[in-house]
Amino acid sequence: MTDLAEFAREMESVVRSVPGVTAVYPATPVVVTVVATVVATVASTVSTAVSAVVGAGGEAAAELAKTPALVSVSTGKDGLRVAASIGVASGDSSTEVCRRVHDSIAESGGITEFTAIDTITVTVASID
Amino acid sequence: MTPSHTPDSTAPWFAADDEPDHLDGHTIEELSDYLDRGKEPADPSVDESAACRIALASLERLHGAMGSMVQEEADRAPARDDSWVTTILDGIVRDSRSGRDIPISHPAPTARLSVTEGAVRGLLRAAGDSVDNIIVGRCRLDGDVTTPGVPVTVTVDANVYRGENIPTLADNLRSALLDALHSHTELTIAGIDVTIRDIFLIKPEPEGGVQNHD
Repeated sequence: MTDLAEFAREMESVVRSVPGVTAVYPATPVVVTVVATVVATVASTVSTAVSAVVGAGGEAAAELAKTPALVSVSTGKDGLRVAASIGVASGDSSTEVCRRVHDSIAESGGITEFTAIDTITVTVASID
Repeated sequence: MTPSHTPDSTAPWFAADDEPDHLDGHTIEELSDYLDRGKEPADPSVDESAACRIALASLERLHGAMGSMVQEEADRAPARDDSWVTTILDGIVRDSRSGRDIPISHPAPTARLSVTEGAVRGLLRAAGDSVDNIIVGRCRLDGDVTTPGVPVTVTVDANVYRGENIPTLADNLRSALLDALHSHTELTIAGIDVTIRDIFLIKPEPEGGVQNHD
């Protein structure tokens, strides 16, 4: 789980570095992201409180407190699923930028560690 | 001039949204206030929402157009029908929602690429607003945009400054919209239907020029 979370953050950096990308939006619905963040924050707070009492759990709290990546990474039955939602500069071509983002994810070093790719989903959510 | 046809709010492209007055939890009034505050303090729930960003861009252009209203017209505005502003604001909210996913082709079998209908409507609105003397009211994509190759018709309601040559403006608008669509989508465009209606705006007088009232 931690590996996937770190990989998701790595993928977010990859997506942001693609020319023509102006924004990266949460790939999961906003409500889900907010709930997940709230849950993580609450868990972090509880864990911190517990660690203050029993002197343990600080590492877990720090992990939970990390900002969730905007790029979604999960495992499906056929392999890894990566999803990114992006904004594209109006002066570029959305179709071309979208393909470049896909190819950048597919060719990134980190993804080759996984045996198979289920899907790489890239959605242009705004043209700025 | 062709009379305006406001799309039925029960049409599927509109009714698909759960909260008709909200964009990712924000009303158009909240977004307008945010814009008036210079987007300060920064609100991540707005800044990180594609729908809100599309709406903000549209609002920003509308505010610019409103600012060009000459004082004489502004003074008379309360006594006149200003429902066109409400119609445009409603249109911004509806057009900014994500809507359907419009596929983008890629040879890899694992690729799932798309551009949202909301992004395309925002693009069309921006392209239309960039045409001199035009303010876009509503945009709609009619047809099965989710299936590649299926012909799609674009329907746009647009407002113009009083006294402008409407056929010429409509042609310019169609050209701008088509260029934008070809640059950002793989849609098969069967046609672009433009409905123009007048509004109570007078084109700002150039420095040293003469105001031409009709």
